[in-house]
Amino acid sequence: MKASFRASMAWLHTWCGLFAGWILFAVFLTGTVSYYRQEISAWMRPELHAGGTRTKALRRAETELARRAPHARTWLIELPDARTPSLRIGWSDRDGPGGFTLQTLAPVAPAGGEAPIAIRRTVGGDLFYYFHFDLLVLPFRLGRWLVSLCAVGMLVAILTGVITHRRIFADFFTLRFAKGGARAWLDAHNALGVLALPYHLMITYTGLVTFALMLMPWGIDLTYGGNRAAFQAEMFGQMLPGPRADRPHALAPLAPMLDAAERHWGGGAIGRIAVFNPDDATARVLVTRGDTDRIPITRQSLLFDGTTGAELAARDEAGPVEATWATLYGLHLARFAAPLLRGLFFLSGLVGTAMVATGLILWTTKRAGRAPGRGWRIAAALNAGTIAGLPVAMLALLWANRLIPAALPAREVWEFRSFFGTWLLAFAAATLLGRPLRWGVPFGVAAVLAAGLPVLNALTTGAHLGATLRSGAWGVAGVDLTILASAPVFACLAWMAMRHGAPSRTVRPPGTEGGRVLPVLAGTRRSAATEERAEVR
Amino acid sequence: MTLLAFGLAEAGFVVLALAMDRHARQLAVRRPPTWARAKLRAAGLLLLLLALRTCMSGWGGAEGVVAWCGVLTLAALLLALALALPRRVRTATALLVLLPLLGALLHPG
Repeated sequence: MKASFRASMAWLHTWCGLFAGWILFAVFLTGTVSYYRQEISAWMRPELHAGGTRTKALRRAETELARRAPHARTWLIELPDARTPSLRIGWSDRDGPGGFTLQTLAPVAPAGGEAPIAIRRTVGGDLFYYFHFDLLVLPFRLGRWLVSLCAVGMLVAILTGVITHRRIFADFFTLRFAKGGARAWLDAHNALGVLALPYHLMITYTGLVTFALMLMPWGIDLTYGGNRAAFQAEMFGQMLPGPRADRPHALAPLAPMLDAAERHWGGGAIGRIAVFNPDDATARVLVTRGDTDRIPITRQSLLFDGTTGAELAARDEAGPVEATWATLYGLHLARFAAPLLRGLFFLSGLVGTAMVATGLILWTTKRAGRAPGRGWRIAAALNAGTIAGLPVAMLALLWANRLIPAALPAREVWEFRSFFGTWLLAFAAATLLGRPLRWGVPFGVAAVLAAGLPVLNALTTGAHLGATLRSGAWGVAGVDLTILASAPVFACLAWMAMRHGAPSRTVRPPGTEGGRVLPVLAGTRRSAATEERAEVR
Repeated sequence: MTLLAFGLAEAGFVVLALAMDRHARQLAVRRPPTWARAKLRAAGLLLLLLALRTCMSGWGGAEGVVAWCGVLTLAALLLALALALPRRVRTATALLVLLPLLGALLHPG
């Protein structure tokens, strides 16, 4: 136990923040770009940027599924919408959940004699999305547990941070870059933390709520006697194919069912369509409401008889508990957000990412004055490898998407490898290089990659800025433009790192502050005169 | 509508900053007297609440609150960055910060 309440909180803030920080930075950055998951996915499928009508897409889905998997137990259809130009179909032969073969198609069937558009296989924006809660490289559900644990650490760090950085509200808008060193990093850390505080709390808490059922399943186990599938069915309206009658029967057209569903929801968007036993007399069609037109992600659905098209059952209003959960989950995913609001979410996410980054850098900067020990060197290398390395890896993935031949089998695996391979390389560089270079080199590489990507895009595909801006494909053009805009930022960071030798050099402010030995750990020394400096600890 | 909300939020934060010691020194020539500070604080909060009302009427209740948080973050961030600039550039920047407000007033809605 520390000398005072604030000192214990500072200790907790420091160490919670440090150990959760590296994973949190990666989660925040990949999570933030996941607000544009659909746009990134569309960018990564340059063959296909013109959407089709829903009627045509639905007809194509019905024909393709009937051709490819006429006797499947379950079909899945995801129709194109404003943000996704492609049609996705899937089928499974399992009685239980999962086992789906998924395919991304152009929403319009090729005209007679025309070759079908070959859409490249790609991990798409899904890689960032899944990485941000699953980490993807760890077996079982270890990644999810690790991310959840770090989210708890984040929540602790936010609450203790408000207590530790006592002057955040008195010096609300204070950024003293001119003072340099730890003071500048602390100011930036405080400002980024407090200015988007509602967002930080919201996103961390709702993120945890998303995994609440994984983290605390005991209530469900008690109520449902350990049968989690029954809970899933009730809570999420997840349906499994019923027993077959083995009497072949043609499937009724789906379009009237979708119209009926839209009427039922008062014009609400259509989400996923599932067809069970499509070729049997027991065929059922489950139409789920989309989640783009309201905050809560409640599972509203309609069940139709697949042979007659008659409405069998509706799942409408959620109970208060589900509604609460669905609202928190919906806030986290922000699928409801219109473009402007989505932009604000993205900005807040970047602020959160930068807050974590400045906090990590602050830790090493404050301790750089002394002879660096092994712990400090590991932390400094991890900082550079994570903060400067991840953007390089993300950009490398987009480069790989354009450079790997479109026809290469299993090319999405190579995309996956190029992302993690580049990141590993960045960690290796961070370990081997000295102080200014370990930041300067990756930031410089990121600047070159970001500036070059629109050029590469123009050289390798027809979906470049000139075409997308003219045709009004704003989502895809936005990806190019955002990346282009990030290039000068990376260049600036590289220049700063090389010029100041920072972010890990200590610029000792005048006075006694420099070279102070980790006061929080070495036993707190405080006096009224060091009110402001105490905060730096 | 969002522009108006942003202008109100930005103005609200500038007024709130005037009520704070350090920022008053950065923004104004003279520190406002104590009696003025409470009024400034109230006026600043009022402007922020007006921004909330604007957001809610533009986005609907629930999304309006979410949008308001985002607008506040953006406005406060810009003010903090403006205050961090060297004294000489600040006057020009202050104008830049206030421009969106003018824009909002000239093009309501």
